[in-house]
Amino acid sequence: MSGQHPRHRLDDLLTNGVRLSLVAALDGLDKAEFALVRDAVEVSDSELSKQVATLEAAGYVRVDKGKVGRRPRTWLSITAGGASAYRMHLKALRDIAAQDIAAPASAETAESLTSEVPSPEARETLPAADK
Amino acid sequence: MNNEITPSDARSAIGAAESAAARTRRSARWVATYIGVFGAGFAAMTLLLGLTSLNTNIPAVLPTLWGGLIVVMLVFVHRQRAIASGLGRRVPFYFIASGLLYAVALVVGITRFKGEPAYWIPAAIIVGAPMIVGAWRESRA
Repeated sequence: MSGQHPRHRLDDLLTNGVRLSLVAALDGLDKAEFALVRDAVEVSDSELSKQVATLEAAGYVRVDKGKVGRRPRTWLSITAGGASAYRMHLKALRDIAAQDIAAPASAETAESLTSEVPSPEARETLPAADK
Repeated sequence: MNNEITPSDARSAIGAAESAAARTRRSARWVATYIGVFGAGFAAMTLLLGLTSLNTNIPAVLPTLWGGLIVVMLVFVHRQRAIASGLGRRVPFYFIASGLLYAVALVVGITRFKGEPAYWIPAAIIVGAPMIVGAWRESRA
């Protein structure tokens, strides 16, 4: 056991839901078009631009602008650092999510264990044969 | 901020992230179609060369068919909005495998088995197989 609560392993930048979905949408891809990511994350162009700029400044995402024919296209890709931060954040989230599955089970176990151990007062009233 | 995240918040965040990831990955599966069409193209060309006399009667037909297929697939690729990681390594492998088998099938078949379906039909299947298997793998990635 590490002894450290998984919340300490969360990446502050990725605690924002849009930024987390954005890096998730790019993970496992070489690159994706801006409009595709916007539709996948379900945000407006301006909101996505704002979050992309934040992630780009942090070195998590790279932006490449190009043209296909006369149509401008913006491509987004995740950097190695961004992918690593995303995976660590996701692992921490999974550990946190697993806590309330584990917690009731441990509470039940603790309760059943304490119910099997007689209290000091009860022990004094036990029949001699049991002592 | 981090201190306030509950297990339920964590599950919602994971769900939203996985849903966004699934959408972009679906858009990156076009490569299965791309490889599958080329695999079918390799197999069809093998059959046309071995079982018809198109190549001797109208020599321009097969290069035109290949050229047309390549142009259509280039347009198809340029329309795509997501590229899966590692395609630059995997796709050439499928092309080289089918290309080499195609070359061997033609060299052996044209010299010894011209017009024999018993040779050309299995040869076409074998030639297309690396790309069809590649298409199947990419569709599951």
